[in-house]
Amino acid sequence: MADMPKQSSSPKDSLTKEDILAGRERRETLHLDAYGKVVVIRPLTDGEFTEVFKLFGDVPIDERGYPDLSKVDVHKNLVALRKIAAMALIEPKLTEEEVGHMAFGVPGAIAHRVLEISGLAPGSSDGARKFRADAAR
Amino acid sequence: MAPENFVRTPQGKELAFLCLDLGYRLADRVQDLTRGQINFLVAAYNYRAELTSLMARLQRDEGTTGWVFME
Repeated sequence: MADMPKQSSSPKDSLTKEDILAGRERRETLHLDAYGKVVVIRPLTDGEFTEVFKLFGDVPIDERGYPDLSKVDVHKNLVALRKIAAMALIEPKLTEEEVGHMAFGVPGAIAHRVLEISGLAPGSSDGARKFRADAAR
Repeated sequence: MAPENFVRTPQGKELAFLCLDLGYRLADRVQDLTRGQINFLVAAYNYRAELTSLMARLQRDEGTTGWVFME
């Protein structure tokens, strides 16, 4: 697995007025060690995630209320991660096929960060995790 | 900061007021909202319901004046 991307700035995970207003226009720079370069990503919207999750049919949900991609078919999982990375990449703009040609593990690493900044994976923020846990009760 | 805490801050209250009372739209279509925006709107709505319920409870007690102290 490639090195996890480095986040460009500090406490991006804390919910701010700017993040809420920016929505899908929010941008985050990631450093990819595998390439020694940075990419720019954005969060995906609920509508875009719905499109991605259509690939799986019923998506298993873990005990915290997050989609559990580890429990879905491996091939579908890879396709979904590539799709998420391709949709979220702003700079450079890449197709799903081009994302598939990136170094091993990089598309997954990008996609996981996209899931985090989109509030759909743990690690996005302690607050968001607590909020989801509370909501699930 | 968790959404339910953020809506209690001055910035959160301001944004909630714009969205809930003045119809400010965070996205053109519902499907264009991010999960963070949805979490904020739900938290703002819950906080509003909490305050409304508190005020209603205070007003039920005839002959008393209720005060809600906020930051």
